[in-house]
Amino acid sequence: MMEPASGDGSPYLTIVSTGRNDSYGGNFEERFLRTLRFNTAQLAAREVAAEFVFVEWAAPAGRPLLSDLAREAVPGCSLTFRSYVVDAAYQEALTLNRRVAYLEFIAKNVGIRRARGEFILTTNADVFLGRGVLDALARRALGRGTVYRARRIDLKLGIDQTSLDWDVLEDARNYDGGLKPLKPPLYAGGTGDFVLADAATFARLRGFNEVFRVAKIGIDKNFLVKALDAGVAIVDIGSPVYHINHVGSYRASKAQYRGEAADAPYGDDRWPAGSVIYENPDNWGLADAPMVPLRAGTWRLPFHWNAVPPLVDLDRVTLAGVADADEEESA
Amino acid sequence: MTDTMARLGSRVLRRLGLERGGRAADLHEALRKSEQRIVELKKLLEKSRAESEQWRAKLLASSAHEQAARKSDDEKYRARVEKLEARLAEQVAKLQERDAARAEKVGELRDKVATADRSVRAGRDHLMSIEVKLDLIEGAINVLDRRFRGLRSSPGGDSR
Repeated sequence: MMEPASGDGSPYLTIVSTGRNDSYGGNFEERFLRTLRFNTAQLAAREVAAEFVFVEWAAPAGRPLLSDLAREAVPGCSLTFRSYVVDAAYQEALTLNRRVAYLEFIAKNVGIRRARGEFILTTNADVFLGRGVLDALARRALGRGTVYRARRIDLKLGIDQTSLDWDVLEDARNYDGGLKPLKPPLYAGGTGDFVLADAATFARLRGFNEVFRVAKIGIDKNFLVKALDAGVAIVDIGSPVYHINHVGSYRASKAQYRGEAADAPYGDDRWPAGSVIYENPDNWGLADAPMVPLRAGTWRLPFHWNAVPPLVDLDRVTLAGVADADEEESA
Repeated sequence: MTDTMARLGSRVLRRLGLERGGRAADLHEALRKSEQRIVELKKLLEKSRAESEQWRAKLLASSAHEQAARKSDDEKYRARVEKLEARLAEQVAKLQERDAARAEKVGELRDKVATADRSVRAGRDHLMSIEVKLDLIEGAINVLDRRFRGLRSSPGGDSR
């Protein structure tokens, strides 16, 4: 199912992100489009052969698709933009925690599974790529069999977002909180904002955890633990990415659920993501879901039980041979 | 005039190696005394020599005694030191033996601790794995419960 990268015009990079038009964090649509414009322009300026794969997970009915808005917002863009609209019934069928209303990492797996790039970057829809990251992509400096991580810098909540450029992004006065370096061996911390590897490595690891569907928090770190356990090198790419802090982010809301972790919308963050790993089934990333073209560059994934893994498959819960070396928060 | 003549006569006699009769008696007496004094001095010298020999003999005898005593002491102490050294060596050997045994025990204990630590880690990991599985089962039960309730309350469902 996974389309292999090849020399047949496949892009060097696929950027996978997910979202839906539900005003997550207050103004998700604006943040998504602003980031898309910025990243698109920067990649085009460096002539990086890249495509965007956007997964609209359980998109709310009656509201425009973000992928349609994106095409309008970045007209005539030289970069390919593909999107997959996933039926809301998948969320309903897959979740094992009704408080977790968005299985973000299964959505990303849908994009990873359908990526055409030689390398795949999974990131969030409101993340600005840093200058060093863009330069590394332009130089085609990435190696295979390696997971690249980038430090996330949070920009202050309420910062003027109308004219975000390098001057604003690279001004430390706009940063929210201290700059924590990524620590080996996992280089975890804000992992969901930047996981970059070659397509074969993602395929070998079978994407993010689809077995533990009780929480979305820690699933990103869990992927790193699995990668390390599988002998995949993890390195810091050496340049940050930027994220504008917003209402509802884990960083902003974790204090609210202190002592009531089980009620958190991201799940209980105490689950042992640093030790217990997974073996996704063959059809991870909704590989068996039917695909119906909706319009040019957009496909709908209607619901079908064939694409849904068993509710519980305990044999797919495994233990990592590597120690839980990094206790940092991962969202 | 007479005195002058007497002095002159004595001078002439002396030049000829002769003394007047009175003077010769005096000289003879002095000679006798001197000889007597020499004899006395010789006796004294003999006596001193004898005493000196006596002291020397005494000294030699004393030194030999001291040497013998010292030699005896030396031997006594040497024997004692040798005995102490032997005892010390024995103690050291015993301590070394005990130390080696203890080191062996410590090594065994360390291995046991490492094994126990690995077991604890493995146990903890398995416990976490079980917790994750329990979370999954609990989640699935909740999902099934919700679905079942949904079915029961749907228009076509059996709501007896």
